[in-house]
Amino acid sequence: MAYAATLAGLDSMTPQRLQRLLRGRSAEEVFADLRAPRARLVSRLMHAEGAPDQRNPRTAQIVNTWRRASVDTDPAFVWERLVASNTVAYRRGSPGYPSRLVDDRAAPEVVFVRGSIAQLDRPCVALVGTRSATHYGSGVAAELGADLSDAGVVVVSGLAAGIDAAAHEGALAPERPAPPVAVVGGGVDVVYPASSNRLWARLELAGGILSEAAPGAAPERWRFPLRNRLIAALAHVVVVVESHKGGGALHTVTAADERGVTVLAVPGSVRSPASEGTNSLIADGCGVARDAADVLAALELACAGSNYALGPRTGPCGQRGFARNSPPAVTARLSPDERAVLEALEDVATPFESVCGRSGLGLALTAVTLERLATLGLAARSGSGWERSAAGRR
Amino acid sequence: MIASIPSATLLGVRGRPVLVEVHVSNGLPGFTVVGLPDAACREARDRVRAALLSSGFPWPLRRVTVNLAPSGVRKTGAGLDLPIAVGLLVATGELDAAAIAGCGFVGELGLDGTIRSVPGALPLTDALTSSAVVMPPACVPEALLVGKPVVRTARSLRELVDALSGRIAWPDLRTVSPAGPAQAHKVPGATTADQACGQGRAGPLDLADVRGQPMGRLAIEVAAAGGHHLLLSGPPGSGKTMLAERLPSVLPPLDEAQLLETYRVHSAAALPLPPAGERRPPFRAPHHGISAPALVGGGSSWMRPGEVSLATNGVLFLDELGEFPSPLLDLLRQPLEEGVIRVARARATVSFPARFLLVAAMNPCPCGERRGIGSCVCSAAQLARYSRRLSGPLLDRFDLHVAVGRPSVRELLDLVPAESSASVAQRVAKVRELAHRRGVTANAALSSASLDVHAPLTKAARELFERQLCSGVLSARGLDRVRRVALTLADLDPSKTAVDEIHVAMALELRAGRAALLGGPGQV
Repeated sequence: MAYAATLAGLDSMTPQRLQRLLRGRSAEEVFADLRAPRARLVSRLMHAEGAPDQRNPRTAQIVNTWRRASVDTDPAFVWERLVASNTVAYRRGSPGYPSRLVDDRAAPEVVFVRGSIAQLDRPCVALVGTRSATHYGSGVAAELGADLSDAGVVVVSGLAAGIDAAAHEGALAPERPAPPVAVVGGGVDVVYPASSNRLWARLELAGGILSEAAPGAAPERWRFPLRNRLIAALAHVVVVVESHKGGGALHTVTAADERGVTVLAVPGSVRSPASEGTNSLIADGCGVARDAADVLAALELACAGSNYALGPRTGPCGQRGFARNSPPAVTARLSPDERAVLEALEDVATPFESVCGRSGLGLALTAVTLERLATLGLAARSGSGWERSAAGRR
Repeated sequence: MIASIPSATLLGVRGRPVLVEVHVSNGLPGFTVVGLPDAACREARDRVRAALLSSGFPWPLRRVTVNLAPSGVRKTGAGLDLPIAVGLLVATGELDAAAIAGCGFVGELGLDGTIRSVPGALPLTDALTSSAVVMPPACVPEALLVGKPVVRTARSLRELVDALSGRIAWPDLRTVSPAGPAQAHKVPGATTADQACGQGRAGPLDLADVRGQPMGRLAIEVAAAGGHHLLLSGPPGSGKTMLAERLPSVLPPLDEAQLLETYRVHSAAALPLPPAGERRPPFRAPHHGISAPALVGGGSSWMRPGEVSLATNGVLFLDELGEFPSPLLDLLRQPLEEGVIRVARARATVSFPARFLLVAAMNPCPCGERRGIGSCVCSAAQLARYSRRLSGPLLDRFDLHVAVGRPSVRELLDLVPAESSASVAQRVAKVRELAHRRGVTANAALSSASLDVHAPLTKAARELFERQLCSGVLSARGLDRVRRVALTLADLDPSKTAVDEIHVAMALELRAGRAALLGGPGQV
């Protein structure tokens, strides 16, 4: 394991190169080959495999770098550092390696994990989408994350900004049966984007972060499409919440199609550029995800015949519109003003002025009523406006 | 054969007395000016010679030395032409020394002997300690504003000499310069620049012209009443500029001291003064391509007051705040804090007044459509870059941060006229009056300690603050700012004596645009 981790951490090591090196050989053997002056063997091995970079003078150069690095690196020390940073490495085929990945044709030889990923044995749904999400998109992603997680489904996403972050936020709750898993492009210790610092730490504690890049690897551009194939391979169902035309989430869809994984898309406004990608997916015949029930139905089909079991389907989970029922006790006790303002709110952020205009109350009265509703958990500030919060929805 | 003539030059918005000494002696004919003259001063030689000759005076074929005392300070501008010419006439015996006793001179000379105007007549007159001053005709209205020395004028050098020697009466001030201070001096370019700043507009702007925009109107009223700096954000065409331009119409009129200070700054900047009787606070709206010296004042030879000083006692409006280079915006932090701007150069450090109400407008994102759901086409990186342009410390200076939207069709076509500036101004004046009783000019200037004394919170208001602080919506720094705005709102509300929940909620709402700007793209 230590050898495989060390190999993965070499300069210019890509998942494809690692796969080529380790095909049918143990990591110890490859490492010994590299260290010995027989490095030419490794080089020849890479050529013989019919690598696309055949006759590329870079290959010899890279192998040379590896040789020098392998002489200077002690795998035991690499391993020690991994352990010290709470990171675990799993070699393909070893216990702990995600079972869904083992048989994948583009499976990573090594994965690095922080937190726990044992829950990946349960049914998994990938929630993916654009980084520049609208309030609508982030709201839906958070709701799906929460509802699916409540139903015992593991939410897999990419921990990017926008939809990914919202999905993880939604799925992260202390007593949820299925903690979410994030598959990231860079090393598991490289927080990217920097703004998701806190989410990253929470996910490490409550869920798991997985990457095929060695710790310390920068989140370079080319890593993200590769990361997307892992998300597609891990999930039973991929849900695209919002995607621009030609957005990165569509890479995940392609990877899912190649693997026969069900893809669902959340419909959006035909006027919203952030829903252009998802709406064209639906036009092309992709399934529709209106809420968690739609996803769960698709998941049941996807898991039929397998030995996966969904969590206990108690309560209104199977019904449409679950988790939308507001506790009637709270709304019944509202004053007429509060009721008027609540009526004026929407599920998406509404500018304060519009709320005020619709409620028919004065500016100051609307402001103070909104604050009161916020205290009751019925309304929430959102960007520069207000929206009805989960408890205030009917 | 020596003469000393009192005069003055300009440094910043203050005049500095200069004694012009002229010495005529036997020797090789020549004319030297010493005492650190700048280029315009040195050229006085040629103008004075031509003016004397064309006015019919003889040019002495002797050695002429002019010293500008104090010699260690650099003199700028052409205003010393006239004292040099008068000094020469006295030194050569053309004019009796007794005739000019106790009289100071300022003015530029034309080659034909006419006396031309100079910038900064007001501070220059102020700096002269003599009992009478002779100013160019166009500068008389400004000079009269000082009220101290006797102001005299003459159209040409010949007329001046005749009047000084008693051959004719002094020209009547009114007939020589019949126009009010507005026509004080016409510097080419200044008028057009000024029209761009919204001062030359025909007819006063009135809040009644604004349709809809309840939040924008309230923000303008609160900004005027409490002296709170205001940042308006909204999509293009939402009326941010229209609102900001109407802020001076609801501000209290300038008092005597403020008016004189405003005149002084405008005079020093060679800008036309507002028409007599106009007490509306100044409104300056520099374009975002402005240079740092033009914004805060400075310049290599003539320390000209910048836009922040011209806006003193009034409004500085920065449209498209996001387009201003950020180093330029950070220059505003000192004047916002201290009310003065100190411009330091190798030769001199000058303090300019800079007590202005800052109003800024910006689009919520580079494409401007962020407020509409899903219509923004900016990438996350673009948004991050855009919000980074404004430094946190600068954003903190804005007590009011309001997001305005485009008015609806119904509001645009509504024929019911909105409330006029005059009635808003009445409420504003009452709040300012309350602030004066608290010992400050406006509520925004109250210290944190005096807030507890002057702005007691009701129980409900305190609870609302507690909730905001606990949930992290409000920072400790923001707390005092919201309290000041809440106090202004309470002052505007005649039915309430203490700061209540309703005022705090409204004050929070008037600051909510800040979170929207700082938040990420999909931040809920």
